[in-house]
Amino acid sequence: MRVVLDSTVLISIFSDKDKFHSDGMKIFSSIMDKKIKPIIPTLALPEICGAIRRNFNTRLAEIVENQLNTWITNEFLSIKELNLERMKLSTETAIGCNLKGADAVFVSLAKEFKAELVTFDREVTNKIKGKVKLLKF
Amino acid sequence: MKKIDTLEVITRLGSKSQIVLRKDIREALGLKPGSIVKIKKLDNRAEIKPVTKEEMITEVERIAKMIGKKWPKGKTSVDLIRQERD
Repeated sequence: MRVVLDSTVLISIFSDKDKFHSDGMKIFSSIMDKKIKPIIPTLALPEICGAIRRNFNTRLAEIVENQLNTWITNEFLSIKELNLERMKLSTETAIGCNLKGADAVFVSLAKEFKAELVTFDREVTNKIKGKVKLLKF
Repeated sequence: MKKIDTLEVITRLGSKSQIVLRKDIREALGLKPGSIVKIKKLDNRAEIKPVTKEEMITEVERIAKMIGKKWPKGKTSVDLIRQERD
C-alpha cells in the first residue's frame, strides 16, 4: 500500500516523549515489514532536520539526517522531487483546500500517487476530508 | 545459515566501488539480494554485519530516547512542524 508520510509522522518516530510516538513506531514497523510503501517529498528532510536543529542541536539533527538518508538509500522511503508539474499540483491543492504551501506539497503528492496520507496534524486532516484518503491506524 | 566461524576472501572493488560478497559468505551470513547490512569503519578496516528489523527499530528507539530527553514539555511533533510551516 502506498502512503505519503507527513513530516509530523517522521518527527514522532524520533522522540519517545512525543504523544504520537507509539503510532509513529507502528508505521515504522509496517515500513520495515514492507507492508506500506512510503513516499515523501524532498521538502521533508530539510523540514524535519531544521525542526530538530532549531529545537535541539546540530548533532541530533545530523543523527536524524543520517537515519533518514539510510532509509532512503535502502528504499524504505521513496523521495519525490518538487518539479514544475508538482509545483502546479501543489499550488492547485493549496488554493483548492485552503492549505499552507508546505501542507499542500504533501497532500498533492498523495493525490498524484493515489496514496493515503498519514499525518497527525488535525489542521490538515480537517481541510482535506473527502478529498484525499487518510490512513487510519 | 551455514555454520562457518572464520572465512576470509580477498576481492576487488568494482568501477563504482561495489563489493560483491561471494556466495559462501552470503550464505554463511544468511544474506540475500535486498538484505540490509551495516558497514562500520574500524581503524584500518571495515566490518560488514547483517541488520535485522529488530536492530533497526532498536537504533531508532535509541535516537528517540536521546531526543526525548530534550523534548520540550507539552509540545508534540505537530507543534514542531507547525513552527516550520507557519
